[in-house]
Amino acid sequence: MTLVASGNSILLQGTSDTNPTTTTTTVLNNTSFSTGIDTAVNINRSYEVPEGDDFEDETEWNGPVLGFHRQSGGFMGGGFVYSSWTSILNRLSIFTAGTPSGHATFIGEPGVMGNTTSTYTDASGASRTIDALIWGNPASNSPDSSHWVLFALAGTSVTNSDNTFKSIQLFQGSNTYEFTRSSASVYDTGENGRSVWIWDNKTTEVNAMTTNSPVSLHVTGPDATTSVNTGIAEEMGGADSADVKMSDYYKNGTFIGELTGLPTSGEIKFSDFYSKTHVGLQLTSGTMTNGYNSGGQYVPPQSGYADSLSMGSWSGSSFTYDGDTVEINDLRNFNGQMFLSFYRSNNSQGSFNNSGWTSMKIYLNQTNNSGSPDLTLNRTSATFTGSATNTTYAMWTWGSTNTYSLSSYFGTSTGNQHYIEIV
Amino acid sequence: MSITYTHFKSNQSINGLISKMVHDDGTIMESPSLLNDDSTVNESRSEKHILAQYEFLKLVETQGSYFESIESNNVIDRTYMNGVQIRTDYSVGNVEGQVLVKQLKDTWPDEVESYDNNGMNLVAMYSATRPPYDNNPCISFYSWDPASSELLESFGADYNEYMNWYGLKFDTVTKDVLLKAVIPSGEMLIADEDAHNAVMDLLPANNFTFFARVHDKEGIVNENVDVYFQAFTNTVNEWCDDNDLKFPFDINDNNITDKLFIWGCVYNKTSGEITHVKGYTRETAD
Repeated sequence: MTLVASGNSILLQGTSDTNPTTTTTTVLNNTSFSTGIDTAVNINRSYEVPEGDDFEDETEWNGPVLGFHRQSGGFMGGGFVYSSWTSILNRLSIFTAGTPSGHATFIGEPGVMGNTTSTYTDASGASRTIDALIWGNPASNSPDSSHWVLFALAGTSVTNSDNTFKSIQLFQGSNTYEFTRSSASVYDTGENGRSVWIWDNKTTEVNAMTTNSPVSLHVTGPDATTSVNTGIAEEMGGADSADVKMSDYYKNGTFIGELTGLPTSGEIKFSDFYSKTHVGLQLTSGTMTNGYNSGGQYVPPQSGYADSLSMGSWSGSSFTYDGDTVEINDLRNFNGQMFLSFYRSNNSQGSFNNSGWTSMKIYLNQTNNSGSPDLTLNRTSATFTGSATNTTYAMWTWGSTNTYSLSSYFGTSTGNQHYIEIV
Repeated sequence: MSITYTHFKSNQSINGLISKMVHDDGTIMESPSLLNDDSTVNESRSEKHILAQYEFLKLVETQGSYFESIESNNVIDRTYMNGVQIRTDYSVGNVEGQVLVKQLKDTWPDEVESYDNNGMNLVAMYSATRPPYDNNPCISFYSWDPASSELLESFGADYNEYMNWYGLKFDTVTKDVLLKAVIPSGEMLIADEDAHNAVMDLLPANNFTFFARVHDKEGIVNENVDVYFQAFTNTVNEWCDDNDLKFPFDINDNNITDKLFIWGCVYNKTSGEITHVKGYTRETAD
């Protein structure tokens, strides 16, 4: 995990308290955004005149429409009517006695304008396509003064949940304009192949976005909740020991490897650890030259290094682990598993602890650590074996998984060289 | 012998839960717990997993040198089932083995390229005492050379991976031949996931586990599946008692237990039960 950020209490141990959680925004689509404009758009509705069966097509809203619009054919104009606007736009006062007929609809709907990356994968894994992200700034003579923002996704009945999108965020310089799905005035499941959300009365935002065109777009998903550690030992190791001290937590010291922002000696402060994530020590590294034994009918094949079997060799140095000097004396694939053993000659120290290192990195068929490791095996995934009576060894074993097979991982011939890091 | 298991939360496990075994021989083992669908610890599976690993390490430690000392080209394997020895396998270079090799060459000269070019090959004469074989006298032949593609094809065997050996069963009366395709556990999972998982649930703690499927010349795979594994004798004995299965030999006979290297079980897919338990010993022939 990670330690708490600045401004929070930070402890030396921190294992007995409840770790706080932090909530972070999940960005589903982070992309550039350029604004187009259609200077004259009307939203009209048919009204039955008070005197009888005549109908008049009247403009309820007019003004410039700005933003991104993907399709030239439009989707809210022509013969298509949308209930969306009915709850947004006020009835015209000149027809207070008349009856609106049908729904308001665009006349002269914006064509293709603006630009952005219109597809993203939502939090449920579904692919979404943005058909429009537009806003209307009413002209001074517009009967209705609504400042609205419209977001349309391709497809009808797109799920109205945070998995689809939690909010739309537009950015320009230090300005952020955010429209939260749950606060939309309208959610329309669609009448012409789209699902539509409209926010009304966004006067401040629409005016600002008309003046300062947004240059980037975030589509956000459900918030991600992560837990953070409160204790330095809890994060960095040694939490199972009652006597850890700050001097155990120097960079490249007892528990921590090459971690930026920490001193290697001298003054060390609790505040040095805010927001830090543990980086393990490199305990040892070297080249393993594997031996190979093909086994027999009922003896599994094995390849690697095993000191007790005089199989293969290992160039790495001895190192300090769990308070004692140890060396690797076994590193091989055997019986479909990977074996790693640390050995010390001292048999009076008590059993080794299953802690103190993070992972073994294997760079197959190379003698350095250039590039990425071919396989990283985490200690916390391994089965640990120690002994209260023979305290000279600690062993970790990993089984094969559906992503890698360990049955002949180091090859089926002798003399292949592999670079190994224990961190 | 005393074993204590505990299961607890720990940040030293990838899933936050550790199952721990403390053995009265001093061994301490910790492993990420195996979980149920509701993320609670599956204690029986977790304990079986750790015990299997413990037994594997101890078997390597206690038996490794014995089996390394065996002359691989001059062995005698004995099979025990239902309390008696039911079969003896000989290396093809043995006097007993050569008699059977001659019989194979005379009767089935073209079934394989050579019966005795590899000294590790084994032959045995036996009368089967369990399905899928009939009671006719049969010759068992195990080859340490990979099966040819023609041979595999003739039995409809099309696996991705095989163990380093395979078997043929020759019926001396009907002259029929069956293939025993020996495959790793992972390959069995691919070939027949249901049977694999059922067997693994039924077995006691086990390791070095592999399967064998019997194919006839029509390519039909028999419903009886063989599974082989290594485990402690006491573990298998207790498991037999718990499951009303006949332990294969006299557990007090050290001449057997000291040379035991593998267990075999027959699983019937129709009944969903393990029907037979076998024990195999190996030693160098005189």
